[in-house]
Amino acid sequence: MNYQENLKAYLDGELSPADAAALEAALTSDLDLARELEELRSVTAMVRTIPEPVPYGLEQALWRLEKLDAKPVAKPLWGRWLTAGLVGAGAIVLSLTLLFPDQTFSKESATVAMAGSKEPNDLGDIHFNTDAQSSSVVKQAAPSAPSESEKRTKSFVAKPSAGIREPQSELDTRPTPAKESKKVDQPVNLPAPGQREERTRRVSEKPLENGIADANVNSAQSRFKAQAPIVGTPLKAESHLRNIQPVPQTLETREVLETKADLARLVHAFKGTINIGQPKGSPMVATITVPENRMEEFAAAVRGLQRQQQNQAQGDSSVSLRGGGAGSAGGMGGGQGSMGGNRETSQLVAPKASTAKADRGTASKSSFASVKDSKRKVTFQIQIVPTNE
Amino acid sequence: MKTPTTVDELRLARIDIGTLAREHYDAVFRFCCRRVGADHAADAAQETFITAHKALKKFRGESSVTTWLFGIANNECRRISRKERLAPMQLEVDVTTATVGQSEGALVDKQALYEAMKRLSDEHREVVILHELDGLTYEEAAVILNVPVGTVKSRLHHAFQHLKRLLVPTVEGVK
Repeated sequence: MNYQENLKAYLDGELSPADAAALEAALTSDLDLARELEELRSVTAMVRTIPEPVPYGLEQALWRLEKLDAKPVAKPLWGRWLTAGLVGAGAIVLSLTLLFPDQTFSKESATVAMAGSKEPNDLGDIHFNTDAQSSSVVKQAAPSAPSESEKRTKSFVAKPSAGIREPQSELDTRPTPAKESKKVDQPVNLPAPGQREERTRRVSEKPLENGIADANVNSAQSRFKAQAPIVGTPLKAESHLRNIQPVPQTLETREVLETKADLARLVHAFKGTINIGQPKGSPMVATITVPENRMEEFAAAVRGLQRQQQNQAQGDSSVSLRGGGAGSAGGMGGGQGSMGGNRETSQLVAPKASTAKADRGTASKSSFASVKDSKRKVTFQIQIVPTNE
Repeated sequence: MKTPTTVDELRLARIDIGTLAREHYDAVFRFCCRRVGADHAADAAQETFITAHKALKKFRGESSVTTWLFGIANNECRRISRKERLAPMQLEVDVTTATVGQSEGALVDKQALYEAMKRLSDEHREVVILHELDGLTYEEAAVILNVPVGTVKSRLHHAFQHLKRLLVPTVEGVK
């Protein structure tokens, strides 16, 4: 054994007991080894005299550690992406709102399109009417849609044209738009005077008189009326509509997007068209065109939807649905009276709008509010127009 | 209350990193000061405890807390030395604070000691500091240096042989 190499370890107590005993035995007989051990002991003692540094910075270290503990736990990666996505979506919606202040249903309408399980081409073309008084979503059953500008003006012309009958009697002669506006009866239960009253009249009265549900009454309507008078429709349709169950004319819900999506799916299943719009200051109007021979079936489906929403409303007070079967109720008075005059049109209009969007100041503000508070109570007025298809 | 010596004991005792820093900061600071100097020692020590705070959950607890902290501090000192381009082993030479004695001879001996330490190779100086100044055992020094225990023993033997050759006249003089 090389005792010299073990001297330092022996001094430090790092030798095994056996090696230490062997070294101690060698030290008693080897004076040079013992002298070297003493020199190592002296050098070790000298090295250990090096002064220790005076520590500082403990308080700063504790402060940094406390700050580190106070930091919230970092979000997982998916959480960061989700947050970034939500912020981005919000920025896009806000930008669109500022760019198109008059288009109040951009977000909701887009969601309706997304809610459908099929491609837009399968459901029909969906486009937006940017007219401030007739912002709406129009789904046309015909896949070959006209140009965008034509859609805006003809979207409500094409639908009734499908159900228009050829003039068969004297009653088919229609009045001019000017005369027609004078002949319009005052609404029975219109809630607001002035412009809102005028808009409500357009929505609720003219279709009753003309026999069509036309939510967007504008210059295009007068052209349509001149081309395709439909007053005096055949009694065949009257007899058919007399037998159908009254369709809930008003859907009041807080789940606007879901209701729109449900209606869109329902109408699509019946190969019909739906037009959802909201003239300023008026409740949301859903003008639905379904084949005449399926009116009864469609009415039953709508009642099913109504019952479904009622069940949800019982579990969740945030959803309420009313007006079902009120075809002869007070709110239905205007429409019912008109139906007596022209029974081909099953026009169901609620006279009172409970939508929270009724008193909005500007379109941009209202659009932002609808995004901000999507749980507001919104009333859908449902107008059903039969077609020959 | 017994101070926890392993990470497992720390977990059981639920000692937070603040308590750990209060108990071990001085040792970590001295460890860092001997490697990067007093100017960077505080930064190195603070970074050591911040790293320890992040790595506490991952540590397997195979060594003592002191060894674990010194291992982190050693890596931190190497990082700072590379970043600041520091000379290895920043031993502070302060001849006015001699502890051997207050005599003039003692001050001279102190300076001779620092000169001898500077002449050691980095490996030898490192193991001398770990064992003689930081107070680690051969095994603990081997863990920090990631070398076998026999290597630590061998390096110490050669380092002290070199120091003895440089310092024996001084030692004899002191005697």
